[in-house]
Amino acid sequence: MNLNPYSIGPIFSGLFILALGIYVLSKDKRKPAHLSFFFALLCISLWLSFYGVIYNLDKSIGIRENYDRFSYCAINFIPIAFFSHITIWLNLKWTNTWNLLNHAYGVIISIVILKTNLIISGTYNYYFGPYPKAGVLHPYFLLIFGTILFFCVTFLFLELKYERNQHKSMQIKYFLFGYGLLGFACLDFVPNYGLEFYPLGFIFSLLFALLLSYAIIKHRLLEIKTIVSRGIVYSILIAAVFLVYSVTVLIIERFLQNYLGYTSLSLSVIFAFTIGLIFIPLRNKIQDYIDATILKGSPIRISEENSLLRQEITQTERLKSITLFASGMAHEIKNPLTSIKTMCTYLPQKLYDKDFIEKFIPLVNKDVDRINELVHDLLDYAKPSPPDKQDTDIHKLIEGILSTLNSKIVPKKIQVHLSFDLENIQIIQIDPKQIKQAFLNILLNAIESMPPEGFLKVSTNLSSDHNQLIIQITDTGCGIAKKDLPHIFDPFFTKKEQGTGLGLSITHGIIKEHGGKIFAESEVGKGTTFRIELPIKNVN
Amino acid sequence: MAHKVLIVDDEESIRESLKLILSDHYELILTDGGEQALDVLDHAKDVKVVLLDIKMRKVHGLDVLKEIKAKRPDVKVIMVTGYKSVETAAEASRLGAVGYIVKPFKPEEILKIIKREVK
Repeated sequence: MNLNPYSIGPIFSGLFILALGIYVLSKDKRKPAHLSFFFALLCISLWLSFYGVIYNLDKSIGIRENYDRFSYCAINFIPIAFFSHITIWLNLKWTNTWNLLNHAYGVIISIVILKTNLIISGTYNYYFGPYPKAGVLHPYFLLIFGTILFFCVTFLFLELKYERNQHKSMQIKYFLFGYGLLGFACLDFVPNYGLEFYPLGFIFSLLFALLLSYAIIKHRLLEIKTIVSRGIVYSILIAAVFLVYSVTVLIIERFLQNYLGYTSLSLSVIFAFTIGLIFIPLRNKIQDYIDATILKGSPIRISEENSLLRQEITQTERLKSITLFASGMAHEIKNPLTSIKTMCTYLPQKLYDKDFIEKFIPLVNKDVDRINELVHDLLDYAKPSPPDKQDTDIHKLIEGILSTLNSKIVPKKIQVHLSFDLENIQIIQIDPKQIKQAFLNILLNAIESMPPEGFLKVSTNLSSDHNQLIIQITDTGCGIAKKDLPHIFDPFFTKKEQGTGLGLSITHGIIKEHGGKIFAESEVGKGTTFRIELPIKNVN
Repeated sequence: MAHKVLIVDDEESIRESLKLILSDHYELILTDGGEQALDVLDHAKDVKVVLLDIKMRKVHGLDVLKEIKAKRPDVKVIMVTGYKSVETAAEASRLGAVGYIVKPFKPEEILKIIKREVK
């Protein structure tokens, strides 16, 4: 039996759509959206495949009409399956009852199609093959078919109108466009009424499937992650181009033979050679096009890749920071432990050595206190508690901190200048205890870095966009070297003789927890300015 | 003649601990930073061994090591640290340090390493 050439298109489309459906299902069988989409594609595949088979069946074979009717049952379920898929995907739970009714309707109509002549009354024998004849109820069948599809499209349009998420909007557009293409396949109903033309529904179905495949690869349609190997794409394309090349050579050969009546092997070879010359540049052009469009990735994919890279960088930074922290902590603990250990080692032989006792007991006590202080600072540093934000008068808070530091300010005769923007800001939402600690660390450093009669300025103002409170603390201290500036917020980093080096790390952590930022500028010998930006919740 | 050992550490408790361990065996010079240490090396040519802390607040021990080896290549420098990492050990070795002591140290450990270097 020869294959009816008119059946090739429908069979190929049917198989491609089935493959797409199986692929979608394989990604996650448990997802209702995938299951319902597979069911919809299965219906289209069965419709097309059955038709492809029917075109090849001899008139005399009795089962031909049964295939027609089975194919129509599959057609009947197409809008029902798509309605089900759309409502599941869009999570329209209120349509559950409608889905049940649709499926019940589908079963009833399938029985009517199979057992009666009300929807399919016979078969036309067209030039391309047999085709079902519409029965008396066929127009009403079409009406309900169209109504269900209409609702599918309406739901998508409404969802698109109100959807803010860019990725979801993109997916809805693809489905809408795809269904639009599939809608053209409804022209296949026309030959049911006696108009003899070859139904091209399989082409629109194939385009629909190709569009959705593209959307899955490039835009993660249905949240399906697809990694397309560059090699596979190239191989498929090269094969396709080679096929086109071979067919072109064959057509030219046929043309020359049938219409020009020549038989010249040399001429055929020259034609094949000429086409071959453009084969490689054409192949390269196609590869470049694929690189630029499909393989380069959609903005969403690039954004995902960037997000992954950022996570890796964050992880690397975190590990680096842990190492830094560990080495700093080791130093801070091991130094005091050394004197304790040395004293313990020598105590038995030096117990009655007055010099030894007088020297080492204060040293060891000091080192024990140091470890204790370190533990407190570490707890402050590691404290995960989120800020307990409350309405706080920021200016009163700063004045309060400065008054507690009077015992350090006054002896050094440091001039304190306050420049507060009282007009625009007074009350902001912060955790007063945490911010007090944060500012205390900075102010203490400033005071300690300054020689006598230094100058300390604290100012507040509103940012230009009115969203941030900016606090600047400027001192005329010794300044911070350029090479040290990037490290001042690192844990255990300090140039002071006393202290654990956690103060500014704690400050940094507190400001960050408040959603703010902290910056430092400094010049050795001139002084340092800290700039803190805090988001404002309520502004008076 | 007692060999002279220069101790460079910005922590008083470490200096006193090292003094306790070494004073019966060696003549000691105690300094609290790189600047002072380089000054001593300029004048005290009989210093043969330096015990140098790596993590100091004002200046990093490895920077001081570089300066010492530039000024006095004959001097043996032993690094003292609370946190030994492969990278720092390798860098110290590359800059010319001859040994490494990790805090808290055992007296016999210090004595052994210095004895080895003064020979």
